[in-house]
Amino acid sequence: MKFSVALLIGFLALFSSRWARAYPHFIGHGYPSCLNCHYNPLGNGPLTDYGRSVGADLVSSGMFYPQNWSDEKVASLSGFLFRTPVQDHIRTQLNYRGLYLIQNPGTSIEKKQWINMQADGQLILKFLEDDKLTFVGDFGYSPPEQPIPGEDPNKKFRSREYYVGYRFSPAIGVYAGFMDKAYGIRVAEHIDFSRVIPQVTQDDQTHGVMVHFVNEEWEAAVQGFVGNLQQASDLRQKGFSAIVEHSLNEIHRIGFSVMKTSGEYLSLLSGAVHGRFSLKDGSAVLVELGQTRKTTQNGTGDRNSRYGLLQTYLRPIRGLYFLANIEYLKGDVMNDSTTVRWGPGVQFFPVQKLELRLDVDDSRNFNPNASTVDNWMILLQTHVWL
Amino acid sequence: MALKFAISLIALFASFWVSAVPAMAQIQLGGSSFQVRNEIARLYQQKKYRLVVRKYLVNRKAVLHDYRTALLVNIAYEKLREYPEALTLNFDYIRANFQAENSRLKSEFRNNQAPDPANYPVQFQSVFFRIYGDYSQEILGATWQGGVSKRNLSAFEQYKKALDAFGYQAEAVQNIHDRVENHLKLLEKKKYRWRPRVFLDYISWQTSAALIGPFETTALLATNMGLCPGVGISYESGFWALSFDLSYLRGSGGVSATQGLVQYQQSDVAATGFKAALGAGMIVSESRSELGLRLTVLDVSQSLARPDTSGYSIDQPNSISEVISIYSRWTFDHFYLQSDFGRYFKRPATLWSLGFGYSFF
Repeated sequence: MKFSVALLIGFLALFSSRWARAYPHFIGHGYPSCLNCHYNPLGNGPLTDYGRSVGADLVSSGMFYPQNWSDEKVASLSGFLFRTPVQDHIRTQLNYRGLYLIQNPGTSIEKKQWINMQADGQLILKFLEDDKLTFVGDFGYSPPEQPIPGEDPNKKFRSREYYVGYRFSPAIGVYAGFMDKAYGIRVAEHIDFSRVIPQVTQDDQTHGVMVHFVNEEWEAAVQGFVGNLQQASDLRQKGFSAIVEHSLNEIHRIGFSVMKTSGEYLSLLSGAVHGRFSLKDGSAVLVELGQTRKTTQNGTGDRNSRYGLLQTYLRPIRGLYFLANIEYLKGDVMNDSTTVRWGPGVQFFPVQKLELRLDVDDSRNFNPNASTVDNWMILLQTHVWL
Repeated sequence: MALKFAISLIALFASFWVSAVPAMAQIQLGGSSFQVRNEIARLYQQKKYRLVVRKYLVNRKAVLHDYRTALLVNIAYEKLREYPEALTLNFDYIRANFQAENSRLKSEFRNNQAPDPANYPVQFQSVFFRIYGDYSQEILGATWQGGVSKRNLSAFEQYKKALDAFGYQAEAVQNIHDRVENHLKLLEKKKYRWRPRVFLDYISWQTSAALIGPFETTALLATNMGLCPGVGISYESGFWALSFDLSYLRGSGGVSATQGLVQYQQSDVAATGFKAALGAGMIVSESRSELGLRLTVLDVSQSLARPDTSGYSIDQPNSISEVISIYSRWTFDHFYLQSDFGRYFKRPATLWSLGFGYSFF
């Protein structure tokens, strides 16, 4: 028994990743819209019952299940604590994400650390026909990666989202509360330039109202927000964001997003174009190109940054994805220096409710006035949801 | 009068005889045929399929006039996986018993008329179903695309058309058809083809050198970027691919280091060379996206200037280097994007590239 537990822990530690919350690459499975699987129509956060069953059947490997288990049998275990829900109105979910991070491996400045990124619970209340009315919230251990300005730096327990949603029809819904901003491709990697530069990382939620529209051809969301009300009022970034996507051949999506925020110390204007392309059979390519202009009150931090993301997921067998995360950053468009981050990785869902991931990041700086060595990171992530 | 009556009686008896075949055949064919059929039934029960077939081959007539016995021989052939022989048996059975129906059906199809199932006995339809099944087995037995006979394929579709018209065992007919279609798709995927390609990559690579001073040596790593147009050829099926790429490489890069009081810096130093890569990959999606490993050999010339300070020099090792990399190719019809990420052998340097290309077939 001890050996089994040790083996399991070793296995989890071996294959563990970055923060992974939403999977826009599932367009490769024929799911262009996140609304199919998430309560939040732009992805992220708790899964719907359907999303859980997709996770159990389509996404996870079937290799560890008994051969005589049908997909229906596997899906029937996708509910909370492997149970089939007995009522329609309450759903719960538990999440844990741990990250083993190795910075500059094999060098004199190598640094290793285990980070408990998230251990929280989610509660969903849903009512009316077709779950038109939903209340979604989470709370738990969610330490911010960087101290959030205006928040207690020792605050480890908090909520990353809570909102109420009402869908007037399958096409139109309104959501109000504390949510991620409607901007760009909501990739799992919160340290990607496409998340960091426009300030839409895992700790950049805001209080606001979002209107969401979707049909077979188009999907769009417009969000007005007043900032994170848990922060001091002078730190809150108020503004709006919008994202529009159009379907191509029913399997691809192209789109754009804009965002404008302003606060006492910082104004931010950001725009991006993006595409999500299905390579079929679970494989996909995601592309985003954007530019962000930040204007600071005292002018010292003013800059125009340009970023790019090319992310591919290739799925050789069910449950296993090989990915390439290729990023580009020109921190200041007036400057010749650029950074390219190249990250091959493996994402594996051995059984339902378990994700293991290994990423390697190679950051290379191109500067005509200096030559620097690459920065390397190895990230191993474990994600368990119940 | 008596003679007339006798002739009428014989004619009546004769007409009854003809119309009763094959239903009455077992009774009318006499003792030896009866024994043959019993023997075949017994051998079949004992699963002695080879003997069943032998018995049939020396007693064809007795078998071909009895539906049940012909069916047993047919199954025996199928058990022995001798589908061409099973088909011949069924054709002979039709010729012996349903010549008229068969001709009529052919005529109706020739004239684009829909056959009326009521005009065709169930046994006739049943034999068509068996023929359809035997053709499917012939096709399913092919292990490569060239092994599928066009004649068999055409006949298989013809019998499907007839069975659809009869409405006979519709679900089973469709299932068999689906199986064959899937098998044909599989054979198509198994087929290896040559695919010539052209591509243009944006590439970043690193070259090693050393700054040699009077008292110490400092390692230098020049980081370059450039463009890499090339041609390639793949030998690939729907599952696996072997590829060879050859490309010209042109770019530039810089290097900087400090040794004591000497600051050495070179920017935008031109580099040209060739890159040859041998790859083996797995096709991972219907769109032919590919993931694999690649061994690359680079021969790049890049001359770093000698430091101005006397007593210092630059040592540049062999211009040929080898890289092992993970590559992926994301295909959209004939166009594709590709990426490559690799490590050099024997030195801590990395190569990566991102490009697009066009595949001619």
